[in-house]
Amino acid sequence: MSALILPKDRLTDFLLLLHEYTLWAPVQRDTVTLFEVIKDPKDSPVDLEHQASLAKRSIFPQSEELFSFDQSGILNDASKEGSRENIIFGIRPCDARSFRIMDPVFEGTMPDPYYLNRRQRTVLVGIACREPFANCFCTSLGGSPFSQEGLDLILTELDGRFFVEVLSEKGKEIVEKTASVFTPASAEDGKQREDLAKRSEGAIKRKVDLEGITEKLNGIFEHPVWKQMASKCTACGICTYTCPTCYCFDMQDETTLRKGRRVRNWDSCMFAEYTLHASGHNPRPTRAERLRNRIYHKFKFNVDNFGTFGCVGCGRCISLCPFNVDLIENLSTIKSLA
Amino acid sequence: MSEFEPNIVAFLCNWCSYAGADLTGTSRIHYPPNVKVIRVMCTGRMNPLFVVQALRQGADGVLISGCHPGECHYLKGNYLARRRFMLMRNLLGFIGINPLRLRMSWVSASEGKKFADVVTTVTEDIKKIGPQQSFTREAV
Amino acid sequence: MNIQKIRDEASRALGRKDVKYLIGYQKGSYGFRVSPAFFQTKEEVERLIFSPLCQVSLAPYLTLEEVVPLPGEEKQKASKVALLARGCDSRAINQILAEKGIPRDRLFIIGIPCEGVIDRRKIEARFPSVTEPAEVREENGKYIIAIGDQSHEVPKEELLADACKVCRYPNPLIYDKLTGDKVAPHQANYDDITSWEEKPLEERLQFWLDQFSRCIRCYACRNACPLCYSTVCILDRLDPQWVKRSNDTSENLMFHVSRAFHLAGRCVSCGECERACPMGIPLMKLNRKLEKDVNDLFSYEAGKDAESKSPMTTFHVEDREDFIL
Repeated sequence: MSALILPKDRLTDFLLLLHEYTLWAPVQRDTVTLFEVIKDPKDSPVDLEHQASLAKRSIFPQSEELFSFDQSGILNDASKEGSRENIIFGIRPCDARSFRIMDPVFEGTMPDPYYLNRRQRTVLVGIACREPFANCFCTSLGGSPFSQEGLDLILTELDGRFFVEVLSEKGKEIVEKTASVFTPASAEDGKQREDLAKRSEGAIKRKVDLEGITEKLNGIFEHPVWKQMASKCTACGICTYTCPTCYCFDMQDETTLRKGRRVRNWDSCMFAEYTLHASGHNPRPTRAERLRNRIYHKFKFNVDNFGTFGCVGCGRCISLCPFNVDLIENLSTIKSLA
Repeated sequence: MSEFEPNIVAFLCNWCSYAGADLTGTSRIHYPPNVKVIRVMCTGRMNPLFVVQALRQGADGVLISGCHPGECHYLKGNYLARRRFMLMRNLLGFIGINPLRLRMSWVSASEGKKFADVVTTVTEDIKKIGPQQSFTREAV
Repeated sequence: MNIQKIRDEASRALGRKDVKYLIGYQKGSYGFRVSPAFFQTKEEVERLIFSPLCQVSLAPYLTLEEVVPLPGEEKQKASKVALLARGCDSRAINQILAEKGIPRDRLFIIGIPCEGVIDRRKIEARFPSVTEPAEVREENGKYIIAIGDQSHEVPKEELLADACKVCRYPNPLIYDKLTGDKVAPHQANYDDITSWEEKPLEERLQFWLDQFSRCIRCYACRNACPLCYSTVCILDRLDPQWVKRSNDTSENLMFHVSRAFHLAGRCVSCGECERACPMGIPLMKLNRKLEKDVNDLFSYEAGKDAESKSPMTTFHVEDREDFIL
């Protein structure tokens, strides 16, 4: 399907026409921008300017009831619930790629019905990054600010309008449902988009060469560099929670005397009690082991298991870490080790 | 139209207030049935977080009652509780919880009538300001 | 503030036989960042910096070193840790010492009077997407900001961290060496707290429920706090479980109210919690409310010295009781 134009002043109309979908979009909440469900697009202006966080909540919520039960048995199974289609609007190419990285984990030999239930009924409408943020390094991970991987539709902001490209059947359906707001794009529009794409990719300032990093990691498990790298980390969960490809979770039964529910909540491998055994033993007692584990997971274990790095180079962990633990710096340090 | 019946949790110290509440009962003095009593050995045992938990688990108000200052069975517990209570009440007031929901009283073992009066006052006050269920935790 | 004097003191500290390492600052990895750094030898002191960009408190690192049980009979060496401490950091250290959290003889404190730090969010909003290394110095009430080869001037008030605007203890209250001229303290100012308390209850509650709904329970606030140094945090425990691990406004409210209360009379208003929060929740409001109350009601301020007993473990017979039935 050929490209289309959506005038900027018709964006709200476009979103209003999609009222039968549950709409997730980046919304400003005081000083941060987060992906949240928008009930009425007229009331909630979408923020496409700042780096928004936590898009993964739409498919993989932070707290999710798996099922509830009482003395008679299981009352409901959340994996079978929910029928509304979701749209995640305004997602960046890096976040769209991140779902492609999480999919094999949840699809594997034991498919996760909770994740898959949502994933299958979610449409990703992305916005290309005209200006990378300070810590964007998607190009070092095989991505790019205008990457179309994993998206159903992609919008590029031009002057007063969006250049819209349809990338999948789901995207086509969306455009057909909202046809009234679109006009065909011209060759000139297409050229402007090309120019912006080139300029944006060239504007990425931070890079790291990951050639051979997995092999490098094979040999440095006991290296003292991990202690030095982790010395400023305070073992909070910011990097893991805001990371689009982190998916660790903890399950717990929340019960009273006669009923209960099983919940799964995000967990962080950086927390001290992540690997705490019931015996009291902790195989990763210090931050050094935990930081090492996180880097190994993303740059070796994920490669071993699924063939890709578990990172999309969005840079949120770097921007949001209060203590300046910098993944790009750490990866460069690792690469430079003899 | 049914009137709102507040759900009030009362932490009563074993030696004074709980005994005092007992006396209220044995003296056949009527008082509102809205109060659910939890006996603690001393108000000094009160963890201020109990107050927040009570509010989160369905209470519309919390009453803490102990021995009069100078009469604490463990000498100092009520003095410490007084300080903790003041701060917790102020903090919760700061985030928007009406201070009338959090009450403290000194009721000695012989003050059966006073206990009834305290419960009546607290219940009436909370009836006027309505229920507090804005941050009740999930049903399980 | 003379960086060479600070480096000299740091160098001397590292020259001492009983100092294992020094905790200070070095250039961050990009833009306006400054990184906490650990220095082992005198030669490394070259990379020590101190500027208005040094916003992270170094005090939490005193209690973070995990002491992993060593095999056999090896005992932990009782070596000192040296660190740079400003006013708020020194108060945090005093408070930890008063609580017997660390032995005094394990510390070598280089005190530095502080003229305030820049709020990273403010400067990054002012100069977005800066990756080249930037430097800032203060001159005549202005910040001179060098980004790459460009220079900018911004009035100090626009970038100064909110906690620093009302700081009454810019000069270290405890130190082994002091370097730098004393700085005049600001006036106490709790206007924001008192004006907040004039708002109707319902509005206050809605505001806080909205804020707490945004919390993602990353625990950065707790981990950044110099005074939250329990080996296992009560709010992490499963037995008993005070807060569920689920993210839900009620649980989040419990977490923050509990944490604020556990800091009553202990919080030194360094502002680290609010700075660390990735969701921009105004945590300092809660802490400052308690700080004001503890001072008004019990005439106590955290961290004035290393001996004072906590107001929560002491009492006066004449404490207020007008609210008691």
